[in-house]
Amino acid sequence: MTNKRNIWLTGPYLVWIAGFIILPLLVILFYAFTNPAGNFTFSNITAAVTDITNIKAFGLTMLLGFLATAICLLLAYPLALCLTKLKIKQKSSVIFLFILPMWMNFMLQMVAINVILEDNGIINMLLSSLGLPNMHIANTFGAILIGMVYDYFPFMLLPIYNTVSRIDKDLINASKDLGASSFMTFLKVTLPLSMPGVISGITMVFVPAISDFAIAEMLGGGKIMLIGNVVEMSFTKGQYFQGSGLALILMLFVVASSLIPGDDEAEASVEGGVVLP
Amino acid sequence: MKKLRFSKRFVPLVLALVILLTSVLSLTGCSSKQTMYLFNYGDYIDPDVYDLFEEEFGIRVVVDEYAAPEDMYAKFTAGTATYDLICSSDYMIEKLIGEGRLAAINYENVPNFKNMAEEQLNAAKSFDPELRYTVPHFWGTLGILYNTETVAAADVQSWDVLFNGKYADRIIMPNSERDAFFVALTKLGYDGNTKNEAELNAAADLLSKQKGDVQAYLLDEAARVKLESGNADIAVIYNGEAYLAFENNDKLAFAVPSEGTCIWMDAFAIPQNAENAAYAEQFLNFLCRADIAKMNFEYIYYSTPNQAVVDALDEEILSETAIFPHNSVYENATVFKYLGTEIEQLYSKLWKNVKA
Repeated sequence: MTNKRNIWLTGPYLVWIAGFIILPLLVILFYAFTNPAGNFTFSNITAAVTDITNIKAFGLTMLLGFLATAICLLLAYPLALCLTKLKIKQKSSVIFLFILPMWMNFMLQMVAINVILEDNGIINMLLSSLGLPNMHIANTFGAILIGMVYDYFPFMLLPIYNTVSRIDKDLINASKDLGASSFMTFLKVTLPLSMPGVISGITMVFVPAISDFAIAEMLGGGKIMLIGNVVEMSFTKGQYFQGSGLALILMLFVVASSLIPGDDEAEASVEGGVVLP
Repeated sequence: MKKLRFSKRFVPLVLALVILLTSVLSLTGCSSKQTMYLFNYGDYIDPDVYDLFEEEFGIRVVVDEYAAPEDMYAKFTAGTATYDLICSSDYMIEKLIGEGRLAAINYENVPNFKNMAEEQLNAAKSFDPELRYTVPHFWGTLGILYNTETVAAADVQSWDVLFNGKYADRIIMPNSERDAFFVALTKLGYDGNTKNEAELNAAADLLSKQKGDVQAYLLDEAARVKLESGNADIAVIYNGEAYLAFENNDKLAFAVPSEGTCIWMDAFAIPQNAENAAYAEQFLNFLCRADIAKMNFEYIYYSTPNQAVVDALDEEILSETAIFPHNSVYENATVFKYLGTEIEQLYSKLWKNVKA
């Protein structure tokens, strides 16, 4: 009964969804299957997946998405484990430090990264003062990767940290009591129980990473086109039909990557405090 | 109990209504004031000018900004916003005139239009042949801004310097398809307004080959800053930016290669669907007034078509070739023409391939 009544509370948000999520999606769907003359066509979709430039952009985007996600995971997981061992007070200040960059405007973050990476930038100034050869990172694939890892890192750290910190200490103690080494305990207890956090972290980094265009535009010097840049270019040049076709394909990738299985099951096992066999 | 149930059901509804009403009110609230909507390139008018205009005529100017003419066209034709005045470049204005999207200006309402220089009005005829739709804002040329310490002055006398690999990784190319293709077409000896597909393909190939040597594709200020900070040595850039660059770094110089360059002109026009064309004309008259035109000139340092401003300038700034190019530059200069939808799409496709 109460559930039914509370449904009213979702009213404003339903209006929001309808106007700003469902409607634009329908518009994109419409454009994706329409030609400029207004007739039904598959050509936008076929062009999106057969054009060599688009395929190249898709490839680069996926590669970048995988690398950014993998690096974020490798950096965030050990950090999350260490964080749980800290005292409450230290914990909150360390987490605060990781969220701090998000207080700053995204554009400023990217401009700052560019200044750090430039040929005459801070990294190269340090290298020169040590007598080491300069690195050329600005406006390359590497620069975009650094920007993505920097920008999306908190989205990997926080979910992992949340699940790891909720793992019952008794389970770990029990595992040790039963003779498991620290490594085995990690492998058999901590790792499986932290999977829900890892999976949501991966989704929260990979999905925005593959649909991003701003980081590539700002750190790539306009020399590297990700699929997001191709979509953006199509729309700013008024080619809504091709752009929508591409956007639809990109959406398929996004949907596919957020359907990584095991999420619910793992979540349930944490809440129930039961270790999976 | 009954009361509680009542409020539980209605509070969210009331909240939703309040949210809806306030959003509708705040949207309509703005339009009751005298307002003119301007669509302009980014940072192209001294912001103080808007305040002065509002003070004097009681009309508030709301500005939307864009980066490239193609962006402007996409947004303008999408019809999601109505503008009373737009500012764009030569070939884009020509396209808008051709499509019947612009309204003729009543020049009787713009008496200060008499301040415009004869030569610039003649140049404007390349895109507005009868001078019925436009009021020029600024004009200029494309050239090479370079660092005199690392680049030989002799090298920048030809566009070839961008393609011969001598300054690999130190080059900034314009992130705008017409300008980038113009450089490649000119280097190949083709016309900058060519519609020949083979020639355009050749230019695209040249640009693709050049890409390995290019540090970044940037426009205007972003390109200028790279040179000022010494992160790049050569940038293809508009002359007005060059003058600003000199002020920040005295090791920089500007050259127009001998093969020729393009002359661009940006102008204001009133859209056919403008709601307040009268305000727009009033604003245009204000912009053409000598003191206001001077403010804008000193804000941007692009070449002004306003003779009254030029007459009042001192010798030092008039002799600055980055702002007022030598007459020889005009002789083999191209003015961009609108090339038609088909060639426009070919340009987009080729440019995408170059950048990907």
